[in-house]
This record gives sequence, C-alpha cells and structure tokens, in this order.
Amino acid sequence: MKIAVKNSKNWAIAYMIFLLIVALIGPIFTSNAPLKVTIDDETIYPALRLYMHDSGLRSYPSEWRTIDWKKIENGKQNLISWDATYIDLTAINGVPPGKKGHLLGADLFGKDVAAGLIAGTRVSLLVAFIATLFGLLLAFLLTFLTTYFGNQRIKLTLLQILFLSIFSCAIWFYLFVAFPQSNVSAVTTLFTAVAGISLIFWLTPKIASKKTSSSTLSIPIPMDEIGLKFYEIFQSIPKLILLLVVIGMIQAKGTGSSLVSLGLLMGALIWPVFYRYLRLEIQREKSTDFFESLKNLGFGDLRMTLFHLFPKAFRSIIVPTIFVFSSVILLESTLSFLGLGLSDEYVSWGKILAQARLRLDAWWLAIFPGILIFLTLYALNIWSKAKN
Amino acid sequence: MLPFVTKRLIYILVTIPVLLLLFLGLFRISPVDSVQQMIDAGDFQLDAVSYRNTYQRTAEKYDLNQPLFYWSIGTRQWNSHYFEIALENEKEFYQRISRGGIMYSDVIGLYEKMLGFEPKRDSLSDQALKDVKTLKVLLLDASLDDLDSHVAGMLTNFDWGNEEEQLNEISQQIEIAKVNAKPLRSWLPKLYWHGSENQFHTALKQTVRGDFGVSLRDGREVGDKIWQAFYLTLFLIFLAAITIFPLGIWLGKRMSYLDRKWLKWIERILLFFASIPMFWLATLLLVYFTTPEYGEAFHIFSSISSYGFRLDDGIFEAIVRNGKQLILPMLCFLLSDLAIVMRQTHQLYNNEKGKPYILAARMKGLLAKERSNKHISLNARPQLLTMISSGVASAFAGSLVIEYIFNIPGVGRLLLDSIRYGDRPVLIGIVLLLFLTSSLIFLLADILYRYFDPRLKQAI
Repeated sequence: MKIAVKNSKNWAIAYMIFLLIVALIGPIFTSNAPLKVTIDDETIYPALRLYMHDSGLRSYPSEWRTIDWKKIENGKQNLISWDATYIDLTAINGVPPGKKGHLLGADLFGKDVAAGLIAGTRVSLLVAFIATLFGLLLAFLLTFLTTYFGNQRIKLTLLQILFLSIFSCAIWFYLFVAFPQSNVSAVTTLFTAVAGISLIFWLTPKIASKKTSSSTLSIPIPMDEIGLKFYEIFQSIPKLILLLVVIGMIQAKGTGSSLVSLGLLMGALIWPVFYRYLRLEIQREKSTDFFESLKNLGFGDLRMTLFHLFPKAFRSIIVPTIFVFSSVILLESTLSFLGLGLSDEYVSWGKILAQARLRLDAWWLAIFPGILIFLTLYALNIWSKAKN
Repeated sequence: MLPFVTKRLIYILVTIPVLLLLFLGLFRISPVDSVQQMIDAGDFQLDAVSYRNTYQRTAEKYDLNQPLFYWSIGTRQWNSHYFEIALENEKEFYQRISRGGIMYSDVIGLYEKMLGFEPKRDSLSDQALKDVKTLKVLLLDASLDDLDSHVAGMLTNFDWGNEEEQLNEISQQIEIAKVNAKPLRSWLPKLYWHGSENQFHTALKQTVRGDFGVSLRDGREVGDKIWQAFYLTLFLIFLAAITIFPLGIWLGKRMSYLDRKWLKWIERILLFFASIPMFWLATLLLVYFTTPEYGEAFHIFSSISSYGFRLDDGIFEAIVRNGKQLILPMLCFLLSDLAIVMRQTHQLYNNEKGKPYILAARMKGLLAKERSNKHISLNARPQLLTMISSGVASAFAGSLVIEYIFNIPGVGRLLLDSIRYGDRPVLIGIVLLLFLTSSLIFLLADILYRYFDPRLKQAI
C-alpha cells in the first residue's frame, strides 16, 4: 500500500511538472507559424520567434507577418498548427477530432481545442499561482499582526484613540474628498500616514502624562480575537457564492475579469485556509522549549516572530498550499464554465467545457477539457495526500 | 439555552445591516454603471443635455442618486444638493471647480448651461464650431480659470448672433463665482446630514418589510421571484439530503465494523466519482443521456430545453408530471457528496472505537454491531450533526452549478442571472436570504448539539 502511494505520488509530481512545462513552452508548439522553414537556403524558426516576441525577448520581423505559413512547402508544420485564439472559418460550429486538421476537434467558434487546452493550462496555472501567492501574503500579514500583537500588546489611551480616528479621517478627507485628483503619489501618502501615526503614538503618552499624571485609562486592542472573528466570518460563507456575488458587483456587464484581477480576487477569498494553519502552528511553537530558550537568550519579539517562528510555521502549510492551488483551479474553471470568469481574450478549460452544453452531440468538447481538469485536480490531491 | 439563542439571534440581526452597508458600498465603488446600462437598453440616441436629464430621472426612480449613508463628510463650500447629482462626470466637475474655494451655490447649473450651449451650425465659422467642441472637452478636466479664459476668448473672437446672450450669462456666472470664492473653505471639512433619504435607510426599510422592490430586469416583484426559486432549491436540497445523509451514514457505519469486499468496492467507486468536478460530471451526464446522438439506449431523459421543473401547482403533481427530470440532478448530488459523508462517518466511528468506553462494552460481551449501533452512535451524534449542517449549508453552492446545467429555475440560477444582468435588488435579496438560511441552519444545529451533548448545557 505504501509503495503504491509513493509510486502514484511520483506520477502525480511528474504530471504536474509536465503541465508546468506545457504551460511555459506550449505556445511554441501551438501556433499558426511553423517550427522550421527554409526560405532561400536560409533556415528560420518562426514559431520560436513569435514566442520570444510575445515574452518580450526578441522582435518578430514585420515581413513575416504577411506570409501565409499554411502555404509554405519546404518546411515543417507545427505540432498543432493553430493559434489558440485563431478562428478557423471552415470549422465554425465545431469539427470532430481529426477532421480538417484539428487534432482534438474545433469548438463552436472554430477555435482549435488542442491549442485551447494548452493555452488554458497556462491560464489556469497562472491564476492559481497568483491567487495562492496573494492568499499566502495576506495570511502572512494577518498572522503576523495578530500573533505579534496578540490580545494585550497594543494598549491605547482614550486620547490616542481620539487622535488616531481624527487623523485617519483627515487623511481620508484631504485625499479623497477635498483634493481627490491632486498629484499626491501613493508613496507620499503612505509616508505621511506612517509618520503621522507614529507621531501620535510618540507624543500622546507625553501629553497625557503631563496633564493627567496619575492614571491614564488604556484599552487593550484584542488583535488576535479580531483576526479570529474575521476568519470565522470568511470561513462560514461558501466560496463560490461569495466569489460570484463580488464578481457580479465589480465586473461590468458582459465583460470578464483580467487574469491578474481574478487571481487577486480569489487570493483575497482563499487566505483563511492559510491563516488557520499558520496561526495554530505559531501558537503551538510559542509553547515549546525552543521558544522559551530563544526568549531566555534575549531575542526580541519581532526577531523571534519573523526569523524563527514563521520559517517553522511555513513548513506546516505545504499541504494546504497544494489544496488551495487545486481549489483555485477548480474555482476558476467553474467560474469560466458559468460564463462569469475570465474575459474573452483568455482561453480557459472551463470555457471550452461550457460549450458542450450548447451543442450536446459535440462530445469532444465535454471529454477533453474535463479529463484535463480532472487529472490535474487528482494529481494535486494525490500529492497532498502523500505529503500528509 | 434561552440566553444563548437570543445572543445568536441578536448577532444575526446585527450582521444584516452591516452586510447591507458592505454591499451598497461595493456597488458604489464598482465600475458598473447600472443607470447607464438601463438607458443604453432603451436604445435611442440622446444629445448631451437630454442624456443628463434622463440619467438623473432614471437614477431618481431607483434611488441611485441618493447618498450612501445617513451622513457624509464634504468640503464647506458644497451644499446638500451636491449629493443629489447622479452623473459621475458632473459630480467630478463640481469637485474640481470647488477646489479653488468656489461656492457650490454660485456654479450650480453651470455644467448644464455649458453642455447645452449648441449654436446653429450654418451661421458659424469652422473655428468657432471647433471652440464649442473644445468647451465640451474642457468640461471634463479644466479648472474654472481655463474655462473662463476660453469663454472670454470665444466671446471676443467671434460673432455669436442669437446665442451671444447665453455665452454672456455663462461668463457672468463664472465672474460672480470667482468674486464670491472663499479659498479657505475648501480646506475645512463639514458634516452633511442627509436624514432618512439615503440608500442604506431605504434598503434597511425594505429588508424589515421583506419587500425589495421590483427587479430591474423584468419589473417583477423581487420577493415573489426569489421566493418561488428558493422554494424549488429548498425542495431539491431536501430531496438530496434525505437520500445522501441516511445512506452515507448507514454505509459508513457498516464499514466501521464489517470487513466486506462489496463495501470496499462501493467506497472505491464512490470516491472516484467524488473526485470528479461536479460540473464536468453533470455535463457528461447531460451530454450522454439526453440526446439520441449516441444510440437510443442512452437516450433516457428528455432534452434540457424542455427541462422546466416547477413547483407552481403542488409538489406531488410536479413530481408525477416531471419527476423524471429530477433523476439526473439527484444523481449528481449523490455521486459528488455520498462518498464524503460515508468517509467522514467511517472516520468518526473508527476514532470512537479506540476509546475506553468501547473497550468496556467489549469486555461486557457486546457484539461489534451492538457496540456500534448503541454506544458509538449516541456519542457520535453531535459530530454527525455538525457534518450534516455544514453539508446542507454548502449544498447551496453545489445546487447553483446543477441548476445552471440542468436549467432548473432555482435560486442559484436566479443568482447567476441577476449577476449577468446587473439586477441589484434581486442580488441583495438573494444574498440576504442565503445568509439568513445558513445562519438559521447553524443556529438549529447548535441548539440540537446541546440537546445531544448535555455536557454543553452546563457549560453555559
């Protein structure tokens, strides 16, 4: 049994690496331009040049753009000789696999399915990477704030609370209401805000102690409890519905989101998974002898949290990361399937699959993208199980 | 018990206004201009002034020109009429102009006048027409000084004939505004009180009454629309729940004390189906079982275009008439969720098996089946309850996909449609309803939890 798990884990990892490679260099092999052509005894590689042009490495010669590569004879056609976004007018309303030069068929718009799947791999993985990284970042920030400050560390006097609220109101007023389009850069704003807040923290105890020397009433701000409440609220709402509602309010009608914005949005919804593990791990670390000895060595709180607790805690979220990665892929394809995902310029697995609903006899539109989604999720599932 | 329930109910009641405020705020910052979409849907050409008027009127009709909350903070030279402007460009115009300390009351209507300045084409030179066009462009980003000098230039350079008076009026109004300017005032904030004429208050009032107005899409009552759909979704989820949970729990329980091959095979098959994404599974079922394309043997169900399961005239009639259409959706629910329920129950029973009280029961001579049915079942009830409640709450997301694929007019489908058409009232209604439903499910689960586990009663 153990051997079987290990074996399937290797398969899963190999599959994921393969998918990553496809996502990275796939566009070279799915292109209208051929891989290699000999014109006037000169060998050129148009597909490679096109890929390099798209990634900003080298320019694509303008005279090549006018050449109809399909008619070139002394060259090798590409593995999949279609761009993912190229509309083959002869294949509109779908073509079964193998017909008219479409390896896995064409979809209802006349786009090649195989090329679309490869482009979709890129999109899926990219969205998942962005979402996971952003979710990690958010969770890290929140965990740091809540565990470092705890429930007791921030204590504000009434005067400080008053000053802080007035100050933040003033910043908001002058930036967004009174002078909304003045050329104050974000850095200046941030700098002013930080400087102002630290000034308040530095000044108010002095003022307070001079005026009311005996007792200043200070209120602890329970950062940890606030973080937990936040987590509970986010956790209790179904992800898909929350995502749909937010998209419905933010997205303009009929248009989709861009890749980055969808990734960031998903990251902003997925952070609770990381937060739970990170917080638990850090709480656990704090009760160990390791932490106690660091403390006795005279390490500062900030240094301990950032350089000793977090590196250890990050080790515990490898499995959740894989889980989040797969659930983001699933969410993205579901969204695209429902027609509320990425905008039209992106090809996505879910979008190809969604067309199967429109033409029921087009089995190739239901099978191939579905298998790809299923295999990817399954591989990630096996991987995370093996890690456990 | 009572204090606990009241506390939770208060918590739910407090969350509703917060949720409303959050939504209205999100709508405000969103780039979607629903008024513009409504006007565009009307499909007729409008000149700038009548567009502005139509916009204002449409916004007023749906309360979209109202401020968000009971108060807002603004600069001192505005007055409360500023908050009634609906058109974003116009609002921006007044904000920009007032930055130099110009009083709002002096420039009121200036935007409209400049926009409406349309001299007759034939009596004017090309240069003059170009200047008129530039004026419209300047409205978008120039300061009052720029506008003033431009208008002055227009006055001196050309002969405007009948429209000269209009232009003079504009010029005079700018002059007056400049004289009356109080530059210091733009630096001072002022609290504007709007009273009950605001979006939040209206939405709250509607929520309390349970009347969310009419749908922007077809003008039907939002309450009616949502309620019909919700009724159907609840029916679907209820149907799925009464098959999945008893079956899954029964299978899981048997697996914990029976070592049979067929059980293992069932588990394997179910786990395989559960790892297939639900929307792919549903699509596959749809593709292969609703068309004669793949042989008559597979053509078991009618095509989705005729799918239309409704509960309008009684549940039983609906089932008798269209019950066959529910088989595929139910199958999707079953295949995607049964394995999870079974797995969790199995794990739960296995965990309990290792505990001392089961060892004692075993030493007493009870059979594995008796131990499982009598002793573990009682102790596992709270955890099973948690599983069921969270399962039912998350079933709404699952039913959304299924309703979309099988064309069932439930609440999930309504949600998708309202998102697609930017139908704000329906969207808010659905979100509140889903929030209330899931909160009530969790509340019910917590009450039952205390009933099943009396130790918790004493803790409070």
